[in-house]
Amino acid sequence: MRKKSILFVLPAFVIYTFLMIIPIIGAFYLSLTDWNGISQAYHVVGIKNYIDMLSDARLRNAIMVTLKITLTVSISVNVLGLFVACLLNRAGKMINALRSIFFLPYVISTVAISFIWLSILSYTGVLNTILNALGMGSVIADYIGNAQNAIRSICVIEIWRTLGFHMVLYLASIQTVPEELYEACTMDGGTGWQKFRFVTLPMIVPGITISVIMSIMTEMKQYDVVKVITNGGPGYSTETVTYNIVTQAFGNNMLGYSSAIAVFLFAIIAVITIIQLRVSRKMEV
Amino acid sequence: MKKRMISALLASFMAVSMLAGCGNSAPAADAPAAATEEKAEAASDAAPVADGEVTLTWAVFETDNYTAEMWQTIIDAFEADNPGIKIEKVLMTGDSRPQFLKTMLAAGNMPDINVDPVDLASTDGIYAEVPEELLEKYEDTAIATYNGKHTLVPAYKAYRNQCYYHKDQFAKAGITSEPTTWEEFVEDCEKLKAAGCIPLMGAGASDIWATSFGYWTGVANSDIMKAYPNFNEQILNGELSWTDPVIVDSLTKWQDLINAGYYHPGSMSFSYTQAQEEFKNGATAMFMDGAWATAGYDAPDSGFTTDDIGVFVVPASSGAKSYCTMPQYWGVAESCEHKEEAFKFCEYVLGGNPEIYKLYLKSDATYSVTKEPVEYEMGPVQTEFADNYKSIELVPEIMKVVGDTAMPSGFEDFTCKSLQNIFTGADVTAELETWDAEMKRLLESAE
Amino acid sequence: MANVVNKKEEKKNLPLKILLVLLACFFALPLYITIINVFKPTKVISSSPISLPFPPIMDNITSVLNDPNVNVFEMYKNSIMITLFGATGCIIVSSLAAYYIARMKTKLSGFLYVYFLFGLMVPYVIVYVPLVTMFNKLHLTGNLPSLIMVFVSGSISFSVFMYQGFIGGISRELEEAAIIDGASSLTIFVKIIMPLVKPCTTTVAIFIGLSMWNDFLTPLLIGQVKTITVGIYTAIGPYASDWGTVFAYVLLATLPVTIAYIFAQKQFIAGLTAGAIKG
Repeated sequence: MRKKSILFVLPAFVIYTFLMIIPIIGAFYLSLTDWNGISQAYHVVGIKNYIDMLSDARLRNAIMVTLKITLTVSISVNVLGLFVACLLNRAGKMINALRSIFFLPYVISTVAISFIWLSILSYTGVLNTILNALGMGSVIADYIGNAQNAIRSICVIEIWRTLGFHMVLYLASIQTVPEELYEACTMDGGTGWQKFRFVTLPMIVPGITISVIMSIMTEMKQYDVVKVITNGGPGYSTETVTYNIVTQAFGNNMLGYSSAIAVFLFAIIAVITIIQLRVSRKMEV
Repeated sequence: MKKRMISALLASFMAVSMLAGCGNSAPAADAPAAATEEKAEAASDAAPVADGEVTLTWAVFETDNYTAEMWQTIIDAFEADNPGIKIEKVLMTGDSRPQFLKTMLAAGNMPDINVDPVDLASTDGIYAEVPEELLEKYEDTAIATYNGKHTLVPAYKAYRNQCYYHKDQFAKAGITSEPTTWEEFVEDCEKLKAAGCIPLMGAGASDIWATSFGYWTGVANSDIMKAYPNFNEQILNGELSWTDPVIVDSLTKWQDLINAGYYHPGSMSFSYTQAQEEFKNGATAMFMDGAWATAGYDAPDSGFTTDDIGVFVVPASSGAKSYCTMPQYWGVAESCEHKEEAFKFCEYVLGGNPEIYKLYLKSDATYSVTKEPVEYEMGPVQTEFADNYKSIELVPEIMKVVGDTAMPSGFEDFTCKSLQNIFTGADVTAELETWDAEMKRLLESAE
Repeated sequence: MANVVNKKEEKKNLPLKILLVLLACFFALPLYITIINVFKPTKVISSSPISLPFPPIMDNITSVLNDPNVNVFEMYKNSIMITLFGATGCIIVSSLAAYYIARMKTKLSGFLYVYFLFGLMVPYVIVYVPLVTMFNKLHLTGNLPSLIMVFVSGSISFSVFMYQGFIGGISRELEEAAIIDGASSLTIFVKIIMPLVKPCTTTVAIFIGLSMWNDFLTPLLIGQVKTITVGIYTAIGPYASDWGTVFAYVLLATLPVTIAYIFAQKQFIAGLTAGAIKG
């Protein structure tokens, strides 16, 4: 076995170190300063930024909004995704065509998707126009300018965008379940529900875990939809953690503080990733 | 051998990524190596002098009012009168104009002359000091001072907003004259509502500035400036609080209008352009909109005349007879290599050639700040708009004050968001308490 | 396979199929709305948003293409450059690195594996502020090569991880035979390994290519480079109430990807799900 030259690694190492690792270290350092991004001078303030985070109501709100979106979307896409996957699994020849339709939104850019939905959900948009035409003027609502509705709208868009992806994950999982297990269950007199409950579900636990983690990770970093649909508004009602970091840094010139929030988000995501890597390795048996 | 192949591979990859660039001659694979080349390029970019000809870059933005043709007319006129100086237009695009300028500054490509430079002006060393003899041409009140320096050229003043209304809807509701007191204004809203019209249009959604535009800039600003003529100074040094009764009272009156159902139910979901479009289509009877909107109603093909559209100053509940203005400026970048020519251009457009200055002012319905006022022929709606201000005192807009008593960066956006909260039902006093906290926080971080 | 069912069951599934088709139609509604409304004037869109466009008009698209301030082709050019060179560059450097890491069982290669993997845990937003600061200091902001390198760096972790796993699963026999024939490591890599890892390359190319094409925040914050996503975002601003124009922009932004997807559905779906599970 001949030795491979370390030069093989060099290009990737250099690019990755300069543009990924050094900036991350930079973020840790900046989070300990009060730098405003413009002036030359700044001070090292230790963990002051992290202490300030504890009393920051706007950040607390952003965390709550992010959790709300994450929880709603994760539960919905996983329940619906599994449900549609089960139906689709029995659809015979149509399976591929339908799968492609459900998956399409996941391929399109989130910004474009947000504009499509903006045209639907806007007060004078498609949805309200249809409701009006159907004589259901009384249920017309403001889906963007009302705090509760705005966050629901964000969730609906995200569910629509990612459902196909999770459905495909579940479909792939379900198709690995050996047919003999179903046959055995049928012979024991199992009903359709029992087949699902006692055969499918236990067999796809790793798939469920992956799918749930994926949806959590995606929503924890939510930015694009919020940016286009509401800009975090009305007020702060749809401001997510990532949105908060970006506005603190590039709008308020608080680069030190925003870095501290980013480090905090990093810690959370890192924990979830470690769990994900553990689980996905187990899946590859 | 191996080494050579790897480096050949690496080099070809670099070449590939180079081709993607705009003639950048540096391999961008690792940052420091590229940096030196980049600087050299930036330097050669800044001074493309050929045969004694000077080229200046000019950052502008385009709207329905500030059209590409208008900027081109200005450039053509200047170049014709000043052979040897070329003006190259740079369009400010992207998420926000300050953000665009910050990016250009960072990239070493700061345009030589900027319109709308206010956000960057508080940082020392970005804009060059304006020659005294140029500043002398402008009204004293328009001159901005940062740490004792004058780095901005006054460009114009903009009257902020008044209330535009559809005359047919007023007639339908039996309203015969424009309201002159707050009580009359509220009564008119009630009459309109009773007649089946929606009285007021608001805006929000992703245009957060549009939420403050209207009541906050139009009415609350007058209330505050009447009570505290030196408001900015006092609020910044801590003598006043945002929870001052005057402010609480004014914003509570606004919230009362919203609670009474006078605003269009979709207000918060409309961007500014949507809101204006809806108002023009007659969705609501009134819309508090900017002075620039007059240009749209006076345009020959607008379909509106003064028979359809009227405009009045919303009477403040405090009885304040003041109205807010916002000065606007141009800046010449410190990095500009031909400052003399750049200031010459500023002088030429901003008063030196009255015809060009008129064109610039008329486009967005703004007003001259030169000591010798420059006036242009106004359309009927704009005439009405301007006439409304006679006998009313003009005061600065709190959030747009320029110079040492300017609000900290990011604060205006914060307040707009808070106003959205108030619009959607948040407690006024509790919201204003957050203004105090946020202002303190931003001031501390700016030090 | 569970989806192999007998004829009797096929019939029983008819209601289920109808339900699924209805569901798919409902799901596709937003896309239907986009496509039909591109060809209608805005006035008609607001009054009857879901009717078919008769007669279809091209005004929305031509007005977007003729807008003097919006250069759609420039945006396409930027996006294509970024995706093409970003993905190619990332695949070249990552597969090389992964080859070394997969084949060398030294402490160094173990460390490098963990080092590259670390990037997978990072929410990219943490990188923006320091990266923008660094680029500003070095005057690297606002040009395409810088942005391409940023995209390459952002996808290295994922690509190294994917290639390392794939190459690790390839038997060494072929390589050893080639070594006996006197081939150099690079020749072996190019001639033997790369053809064998083609499925992995497809997955990586689709996964990182699509994420580069669709990315919004990175080109917006790092130099405001007008890619198609940033471009439509900024272009739509003044036309927010003109739905015809909005839909035209949306269509232009999504068309290339949608066409690619239609022709390579299986690869897209497999690539994106495999990439997501493993990365």
